[in-house]
Formats: sequence, structure tokens, C-alpha cells
Amino acid sequence: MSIEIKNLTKKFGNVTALDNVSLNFENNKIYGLLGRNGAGKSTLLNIITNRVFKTSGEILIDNENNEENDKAISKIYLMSEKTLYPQDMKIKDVFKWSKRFYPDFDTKRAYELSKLFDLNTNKKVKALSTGFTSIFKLIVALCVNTPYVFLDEPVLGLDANNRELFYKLLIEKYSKEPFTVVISTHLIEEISSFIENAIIIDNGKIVVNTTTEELLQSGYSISGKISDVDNYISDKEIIGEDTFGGLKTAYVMGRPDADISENLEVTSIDLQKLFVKLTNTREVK
Amino acid sequence: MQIKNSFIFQLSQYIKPMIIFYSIILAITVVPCFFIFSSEPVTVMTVSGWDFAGLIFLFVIGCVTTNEGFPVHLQNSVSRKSYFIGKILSVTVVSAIMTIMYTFILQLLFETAFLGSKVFQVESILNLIYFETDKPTIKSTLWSSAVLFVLSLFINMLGVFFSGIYYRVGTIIKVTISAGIPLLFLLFLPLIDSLFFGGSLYSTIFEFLGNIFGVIEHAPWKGCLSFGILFVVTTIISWFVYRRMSIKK
Amino acid sequence: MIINAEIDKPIFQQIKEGIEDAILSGAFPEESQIPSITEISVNYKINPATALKGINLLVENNIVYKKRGVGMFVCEGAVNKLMENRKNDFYDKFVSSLVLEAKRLKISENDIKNMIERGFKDEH
Repeated sequence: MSIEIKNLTKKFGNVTALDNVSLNFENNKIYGLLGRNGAGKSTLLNIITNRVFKTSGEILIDNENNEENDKAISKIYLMSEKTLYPQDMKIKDVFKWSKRFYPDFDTKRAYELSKLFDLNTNKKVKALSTGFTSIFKLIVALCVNTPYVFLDEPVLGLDANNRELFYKLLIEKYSKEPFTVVISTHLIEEISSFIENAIIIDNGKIVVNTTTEELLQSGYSISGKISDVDNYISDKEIIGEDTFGGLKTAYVMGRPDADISENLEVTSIDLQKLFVKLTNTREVK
Repeated sequence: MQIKNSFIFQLSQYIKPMIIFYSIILAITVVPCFFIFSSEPVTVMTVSGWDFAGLIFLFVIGCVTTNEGFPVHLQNSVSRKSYFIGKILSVTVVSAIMTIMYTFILQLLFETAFLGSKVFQVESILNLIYFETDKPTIKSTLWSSAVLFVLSLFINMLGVFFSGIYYRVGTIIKVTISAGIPLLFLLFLPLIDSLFFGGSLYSTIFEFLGNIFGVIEHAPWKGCLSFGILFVVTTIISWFVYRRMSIKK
Repeated sequence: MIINAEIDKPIFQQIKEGIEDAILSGAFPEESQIPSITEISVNYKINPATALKGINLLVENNIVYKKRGVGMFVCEGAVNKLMENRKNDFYDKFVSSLVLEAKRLKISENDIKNMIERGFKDEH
């Protein structure tokens, strides 16, 4: 039981939005789909849910082709950045229809969460602020009970309290009954503590696809005098460097050498920094 | 399962506009009739065009449902196929409801209610076209209702077709279609006709249409058949518009 | 207990040590129940699998034990055991780094001893 993506390519006219992407979303794991704006994250999620057609490749949801397949795509709820509900629909009607289209939707829980977030369910979609628009969509995502839940930029416009509340609700739901979560975002530091796997996408290509733990250990930063650092990194794969006066910090892939001179300081790289470095190099080249 | 859900959703999209439509009909025609009836018992009131008002309504509603209806189906994991079948079903049911409302509620009920005093008469355009009579019989009423139903299906689906086209194209093409089609038939073709054909182009077209829709022969079954074929053709063409539809960027 | 995803130490290690600290400080007395995996993961916004990994380390070391269907409890004698372990770590963790830094700063052995005495006095 998983979502398999094989050699997926998507072209919009001459622009290649996704370039031969292959990856799997395994069951009951939390994935971070990380990429800069326009990297292809939303396109990928839209193609998996068949909201957009692919140019070539194959997508299997629990071994079934996803295109024009109600049974396959009903296993996924995609909360998209764009609101696809009619502007005149009231939130309580959004819940009502969600229950119809997704029979496992938990209406009682949806009203509980609305109270928790202070969402007025009598309001129409168009009357909500950006923050509350995200909130009502998140509530549906948290109550829909599909085996796969995709969240595209889920915390858009949410204040710090509501973001915290959402993350906690998500983890609570997940730890009670695991399901597959894919969170697409460029705000990595907020999710780095609980995503199990990280997929970094850049210019339509998968740059990194590994566990968060491995990703954090895949690189380190080393700083010291320019000459010392240059000497150390001469035979290593570096993903970026900053110089500041006579000091230099280099971001290096791999594990640090065992016998590092005392003049050099080794620190780990956090996900955010690693992400920025990995997605920047492509542009510089 | 999703076909049924989609059908119910799409049907619900029609309900509010239909209530508004019938409220307006009641407000502008039936209510004043009651008023006239009570004060001036000898006045004869003929109401005409309700059937055509209904057709225009169905076309307009068909035109506006896709923009909001389609994205919400994608959001709820419904395939285009299920959505489109739900569409055909809802178009059929709504056309049937509108025909029944017209024939049995407005035409028959009100006519019967006022028949004795001959003050209130609902004139069916289709009855006039196919039977050339202002004294409709049960048979002529049922036949014109049958034509009205098939015509409603076609007109409603035509709206759905334009709705799909509008959804897929940009603003410029949208405006071009909206302005272009009326201009073509109301201005450009009549002009060509009177300049080069001396009016014979339009008379030929009308004669042809009169023939295939059975107007000339007073054969409503021909109307049913021809409008039915048009409905099927429009449905098939519309499916090609909808089958690869995506969310807009 | 503060969990930080961005420091060198893996999160599960931080969870393990955080609970050990809490046991040592008496926040979780022996035979008392500790928070569940769900509570830990929700509270610290971490993946339940990671929390489980940290807790399993404690189970393996006989610091906590699982009661089926009830939850997790601190073992009897856990405090003593932890103290023993920490004492063993004390030299590596604090003394050797203290001496290293003192050498860098050219602080004499006697000065350090004085500082330690002062530290103990200030505590009171």
C-alpha cells in the first residue's frame, strides 16, 4: 500500500514543470515535500490527485492507476493553496458535502475543531480571511480520514498560536491512528521536528529523497581561517560557502574527517540551511 | 457512488436559481392576474412565453454551473467521468421538473382553475408552432410538452457546453464568443443575406429548420427526434470539452 | 525538558535524556507513570516514531517499563541506576573538557580547585 510515482514528467507548453520524477510515498509516514516557490511541489500534488493531467510517466495509488479513477483518488485528500470550494458555500455546508464525498469524514470532530480555532461555520467561504480560509481547509483535512492526506502550504496566513495548534492536532491524530501525510512547504524549520522523510524538489527535479535523520547527517558546516578551510575542503563535495572578513564557513556533504585540526570548527547544518544551500547551487551554476 | 454524490450536488446547484425563477414568474404574472380577476371579472388575460422563459433560464444556468461546480468536484476526489455523468443526470432531472412545472402546474392547473370564466389563459408557444391553435387540446398539450422536455435537455446541455468552453479559455476568447455569436447571426449573416442573397439565405435556413423540427408538417415527433439528436450530439461534443479539464492555474 | 531539532544531538537522544533528568529531579518518582508517546510527541511536536525510539532506550536500560494497556512507569531503583550511569559519564563529559579549556586559557590546576571550592560554597 503506497503511492508510486514513476518517471513523471509534466510540461506546460515549453516549460518543464516536472522532469522525470520518481518517488514513493509509503504508508503511515509523514513526508516533508520541500521546495522553493515554483519548484513543482503543487504541480506534483495536483497530478497525483488527477486535478491536472501528466505529460508522461505513471502514478499508482495502492497499485491502481490514478487517472479518472474515483476509487484511487478518493483515498487522497489534497488541501490546496487555492480554494476550490464555491465562494458562496457556507462552512457548515462544506462539512456536509465533505461527509457525502468522503464517507469517513468525522462531522462531529469538524465542529469541535471549528470551536477550537474559533471558526464561525455559518460564514461563507468568501467571507473568511486568508488565515481562516486555511483553517477551514485544515479542519476538513484533519477530519476527512482518508489514508493519504496532502497539505499544500497548510499554514498560510495562520498566526503562531494557530500554527502551533494545527501541528499539535496533526501529530495527535497521527499518533493515535497513523496515516500518510505529505506536507508541502518552504517553511522547513516548523516541520523539521516531526517529518520522517524529506523530499527536496528543485526546478522540477528531486534533489533529495531520504529520511530526515539521514539528511541532517548528510552534511555539516566547517568554519575557520579562509586558508585552513580551503585546505580542508579541497577534496570534498561542498554545497555552499560564506566568507566573512578573514573567516570562511563551508557547507560540506558527508561526515567530517576524524582528525580535524583544532583551528577548524565543525557544526551540524539544520534542515533549513541545508535546503537553502541545496536549492541555491542549481541557480548559481 | 461518486456519480450519485455528484448528481445530488449538481441538482442542489439548480435548486436556488429555480426557486428564484418561479418566484419571479409568480410575482410578475400570476399575482397580478388574481388581482385583475377579482376586480374586473370580464377581462381576459393571456400569458405567453413562460415556456421560452424557462428555456432561457436553463441555458443561463447551464452556462454558470461549471466555474464553481467543477473545481469542488476535483477537491472532493471525483473523476471527470463521474462529474459528467452526474451532469447529464441533473440536466435530465431538471429539464423534466421544469417541463412538469410548466405543463401541469402553470398550464393545466391554472387553466382549469380559470377556464370557466375564460379570464386566464396560458399560451404555449410550442402549441402555437406545432398546432397553430389557441384552443389547446390534451393531446396537443402533451405533445408540446414532450417537445419542450427534449428542447430543454438540448438547451441546458448547450449551456453546459459553453460553460465548459468558457472555463477552459481565457478572457479574450470568452468575450469573442459571447459577442461574436449573436453578432454573427443577428447582424453579419442578415447583412450578407440581404446584400448577396436578397433574403433567400435566411428563408432557406428557416425552411430547412422548419422541416427538420417538424414545424411545417405539424409533426411534433419530428421536433422531439431532431432536438433529441441535437442533445446527444451536444452531449458528446461537451464530453470532449470536459474529459481533460484541469484546475486553472 | 526542551527539545530542539536543530542541535547536534538527535531528537530521540534528547527525549531519553530529558526523561532521565525528570526522573533524577524527582518530577517522575519511581513507580509513577510517565507521559505517553502521544503526549510526548504532541507536546514537543515530534514524530511518534522518534518519541518511541527514545522511550525504547529507557526500556532497554530498565529505567522505565511498559504496563500493557495502562502506560509506562518508572522502574524501582531507576534513580540509583541513573545516578551510577551519570557518575560514570561525569569524568568524560565535564572533567576532561574542563581540563582542556583550562589548558587553552592557561588556568592552573590550583586555580581550578579554588574555583570548584568557590562553586560549592556559592551553592549554599
